[in-house]
Amino acid sequence: MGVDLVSGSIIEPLAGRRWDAGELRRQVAVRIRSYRAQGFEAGDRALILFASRLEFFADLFAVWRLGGCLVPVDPSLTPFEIGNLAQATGARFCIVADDTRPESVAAIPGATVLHTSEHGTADVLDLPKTPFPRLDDDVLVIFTGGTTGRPKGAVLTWRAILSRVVTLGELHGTADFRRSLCLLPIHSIPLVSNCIFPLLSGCDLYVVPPFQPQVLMKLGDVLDRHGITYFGSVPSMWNLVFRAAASPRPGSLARIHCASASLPKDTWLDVQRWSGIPTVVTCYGTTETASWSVGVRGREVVPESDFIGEPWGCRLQILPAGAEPADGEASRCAAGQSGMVWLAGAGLMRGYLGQPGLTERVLRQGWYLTEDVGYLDDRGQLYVQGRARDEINRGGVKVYPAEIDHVATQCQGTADACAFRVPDELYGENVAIALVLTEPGTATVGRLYRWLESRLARHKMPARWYRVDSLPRTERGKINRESVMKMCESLQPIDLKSALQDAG
Amino acid sequence: MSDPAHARENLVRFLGTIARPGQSLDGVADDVNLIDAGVIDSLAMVQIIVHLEQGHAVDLLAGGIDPAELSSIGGILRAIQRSTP
Repeated sequence: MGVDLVSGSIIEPLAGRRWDAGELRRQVAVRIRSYRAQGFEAGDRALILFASRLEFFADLFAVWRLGGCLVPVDPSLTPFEIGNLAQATGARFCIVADDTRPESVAAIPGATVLHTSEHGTADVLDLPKTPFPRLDDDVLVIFTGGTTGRPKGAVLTWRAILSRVVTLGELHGTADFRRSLCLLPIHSIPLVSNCIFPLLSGCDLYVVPPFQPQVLMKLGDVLDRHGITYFGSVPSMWNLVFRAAASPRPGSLARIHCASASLPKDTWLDVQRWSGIPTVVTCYGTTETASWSVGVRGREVVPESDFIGEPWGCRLQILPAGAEPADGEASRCAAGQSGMVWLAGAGLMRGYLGQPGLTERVLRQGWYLTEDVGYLDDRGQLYVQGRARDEINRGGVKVYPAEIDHVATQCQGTADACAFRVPDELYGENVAIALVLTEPGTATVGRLYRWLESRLARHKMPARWYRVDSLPRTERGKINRESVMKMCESLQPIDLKSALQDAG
Repeated sequence: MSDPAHARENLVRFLGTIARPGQSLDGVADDVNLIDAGVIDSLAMVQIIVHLEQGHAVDLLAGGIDPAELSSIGGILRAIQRSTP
């Protein structure tokens, strides 16, 4: 299963590479033979240290056909973070490409290294018959945070993936997706929604490295040249597109999705104008629900602030904070009343890898607590107003402040640290950090910068730094990030440039 | 266009304002891809475009500029030079 369903092609438009379904199956077959010979067995996990290229998909399907679970890793993570993920997953294998950094591989000393392009003879093979993946096999672990401390990886089963693929296909048909372009990172949930769904639905998939300026600034041309019918987006990329890219010609483009953060009404209208199509859909979903879960169903989309739409093959309810699904229908919020958004359906994750406590907190009686705040109107349409969780959405890439706190406080001279979100014109939100230093002085700041730089991926590095005497905490000792953010609004940020010069 | 050294100095000063925190343009060669080198983020490209539009009347939508050019100091300087009457 899996690759057997693929009948379209995978294309790297920038590199001019293309595999049709037959070539993909052959690539999967040689990997199955090669990886099995190197000891890969059902139940194994493999970290994959590259993305956005044809080979990624051959490895994905090969691992699945071997009964394994693939763990996509953001290639921009530091070796420190990669080592941490490897330890948390217990992965016996890592899959690398020619351009994988040696230091990333060295960060996983116990793993067998599988090279994606070294499989001996390239003879044509049929796919071997295997019983995998089975419906309740774990097939993907997608990390949503905590790469520095206790990684938070959502475990998705084949049932979850397949249910989303089937449901989305039934709801929307596949015509709009017949030539899908993925502009988003495929080590995270766009892998399911923007890649696996179109591929397993018989569509062609075009993959490019995420947020590539050369593509975004020529987006209209790229869409025209390849006859793209669908692509997914995040709000922050539209600034660049509007500034630099000509609109596509009418004809091929049929649908655009926008996810990850709310699309302001004016931007939403601008996307419709730029694209020349009405079907610009703001989708709502989470890694924990495997894909898009809520959105508009029709083709004529009327932009409204906070508006999302109706469930896409899942169940949805709004409960007051602190209420549980088991409390019954009477506890649900009335139309127009804000509360916490809960989702249920076959697409739900199994749980967070190795974190039963965290899993139990969000998975309750078959429902998932999104920790987003929203309401249903009297037509049953969802509006999402904000979120109760701490994550920072930096240009569509989620950053979890607790992991930055964790790394910062391990550096000598830092007594306490709190990362928090600040508004940012370019990214929507960016990362700031408030520090309590035991050794005041710019040299300490410079040393901490180098410490963080060697342990955090670039997008997690705080853009603004503040020095404070203490951090406000709740009675239970938990950092109150909103209070820290407000406290720092009146403070002057640290002059990082001077601090780094002083630190040499 | 002002003399090349002055133009470069102005550009580097501007790029310094949009560089990632802690990143310096000191010693960065003209042909270095600033995004690949981690000096600026890919989405910061929009700030370079605004700078070119407002400071140098460069119109990207009018064509003639390869987006890849805007990833390096040398490329941006060439784009400015071409658009200057």
